[in-house]
Amino acid sequence: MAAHAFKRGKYWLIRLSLPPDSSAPAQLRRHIREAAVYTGFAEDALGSMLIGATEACSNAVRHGSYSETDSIEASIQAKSNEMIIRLLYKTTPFVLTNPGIPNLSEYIHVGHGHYLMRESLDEIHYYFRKGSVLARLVKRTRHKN
Amino acid sequence: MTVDWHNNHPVVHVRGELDFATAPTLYSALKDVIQLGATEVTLDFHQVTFLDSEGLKVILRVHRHLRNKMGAITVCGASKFVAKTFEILGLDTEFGVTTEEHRDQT
Repeated sequence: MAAHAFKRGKYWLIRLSLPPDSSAPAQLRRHIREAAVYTGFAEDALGSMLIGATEACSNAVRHGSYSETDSIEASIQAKSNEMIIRLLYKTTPFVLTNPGIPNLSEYIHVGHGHYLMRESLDEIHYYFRKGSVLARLVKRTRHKN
Repeated sequence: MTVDWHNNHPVVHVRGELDFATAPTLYSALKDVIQLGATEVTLDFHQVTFLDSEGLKVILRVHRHLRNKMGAITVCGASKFVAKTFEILGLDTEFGVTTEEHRDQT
């Protein structure tokens, strides 16, 4: 995994190339935790970001279209009251649905990762560009610095 | 992941992060205890530091299988953070999730 970090005061930016396999979500979580420690991002908001980012990253691994040399390009931009994560990966366009409250009988067949994302994060955006998608995830804390 | 048996009741001690990468290991462990005849399974989550929808899917799949045999999975010792994932999906009561705080109070 390649990484390039920029830290200034209480601002943190890191760019990562994650392998498009099942190890990617754990690698992303490790860097999110580092960013939270460095910036003093609140623990409860960190927990929500970990949940939301994990689901988004798992989706990127599952639904991405990768060749041997492709990766998931990620960035984590953090300050004490806001964290923004971007995941850029190759895939075919998909339609986002607005998931309702999970139905237990469906849960076995259809994961509710998207519902977890919606409940955990303040903003989720997907931007489609020529064969790729950029997922932008935002979590804010209540206090303002 | 280790399993302690109390009569015919297995307690599966799960450690670390339970996600897309590690959920299959839990599924294998649960399949093994079911094949040995267990219908009531306790998951000890004291050392679980993260849980995602893939981990939950495994637990729910096995839970539903056990319910058909009048059994169930219960989850004990979850951290507040891990319990939150159950709560968001409305599964905390389904699995009788108890947290570390519950243990401290008893």
